Amino acid sequence: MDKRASLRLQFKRLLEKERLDDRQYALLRRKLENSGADVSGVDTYPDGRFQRKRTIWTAAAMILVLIASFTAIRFNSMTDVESDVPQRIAEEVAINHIKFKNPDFETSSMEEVRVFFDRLDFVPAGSDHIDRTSHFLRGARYCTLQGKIAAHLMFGSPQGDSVSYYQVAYDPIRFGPLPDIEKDEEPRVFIRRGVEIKIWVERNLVMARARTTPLQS
Amino acid sequence: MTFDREILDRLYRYCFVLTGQREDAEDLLHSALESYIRNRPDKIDYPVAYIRRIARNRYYDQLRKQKVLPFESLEESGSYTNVEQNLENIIIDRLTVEKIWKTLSSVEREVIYLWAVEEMSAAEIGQHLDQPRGTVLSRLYRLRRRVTENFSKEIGGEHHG
Repeated sequence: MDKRASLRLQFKRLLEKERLDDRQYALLRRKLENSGADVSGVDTYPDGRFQRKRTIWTAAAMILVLIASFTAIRFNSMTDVESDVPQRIAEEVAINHIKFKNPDFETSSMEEVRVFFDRLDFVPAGSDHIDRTSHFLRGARYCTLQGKIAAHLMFGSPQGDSVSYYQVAYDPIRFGPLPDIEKDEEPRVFIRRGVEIKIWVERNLVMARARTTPLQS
Repeated sequence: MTFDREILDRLYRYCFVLTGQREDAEDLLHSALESYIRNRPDKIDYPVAYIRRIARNRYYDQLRKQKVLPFESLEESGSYTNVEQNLENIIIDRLTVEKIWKTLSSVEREVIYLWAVEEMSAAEIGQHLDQPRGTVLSRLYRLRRRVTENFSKEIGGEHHG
């Protein structure tokens, strides 16, 4: 049963759900930057309840980036796109997954998801790595991956697990070579902040799966 | 002025309230910001309110051009006592509010937005819209009457706390 509240509060909740998605925000930001207007960071919320949360995540993101950069410098000569991009995707995906953002569109139907994503330059696809037997689709939202507009599909399980799938059109110049599972290559696997991330290419899409690492008993 | 995401979301939300459509809201926001950037007024105390006004003017100009400006007959009533409080006292569920929202005109949506999201009083809304407080109260009164008449089953009585 839907929770009841005062008319004013219900209108407020209804309207506060309306926000710019990442693509819309990126477009506005570019317009304002080109005009010389003062534009602050992508996730800056200067007042209200989001500020503290956002600041924490920004700080966490910066620490992650620093750690990632340090690790990269230490263990690899990370100057080429090939080795760096999957790491950066993993960082981005881990942070997004931890944020537990609400879906823009709630549905359990993959067909409805395809209809919803009418601003993408690709069609979101199913994958053998998307386990529909133990996880159910909760919804979807627009996001960006390495600056490219992407689809974020959200799955849950009766046990309360949360799994995120990200899909973006594969651009070899931007993303470098990634394992193509249609050529029997294994996905790259990363663990970032307790989140297991797999990255691969399938149907000419970059796919990334993020899920909380199951607790070992 | 710093255009952070919170401010842009607020402006987008306002444009959505006017247009009732996400894509139109995006276009309207772009157009209002372009106008703001082009004119760059030197002394503006409240740029968000200023941009909101640009958006509002543009939206109604557009409706005038299309000759689809909503016509409203505001009934006169001497008794708007406690209308804000009575509206506030309605206890309702989310789905019914979504249904009600779909029945509102752009004028009504704007008043509701300023009342519910910006938390303005009827007098402040009137100031914002260049309208007498009585006109705003009349809109709120009519909304309350419509809600209680058309959605009486869903609201199932009012909370008088």
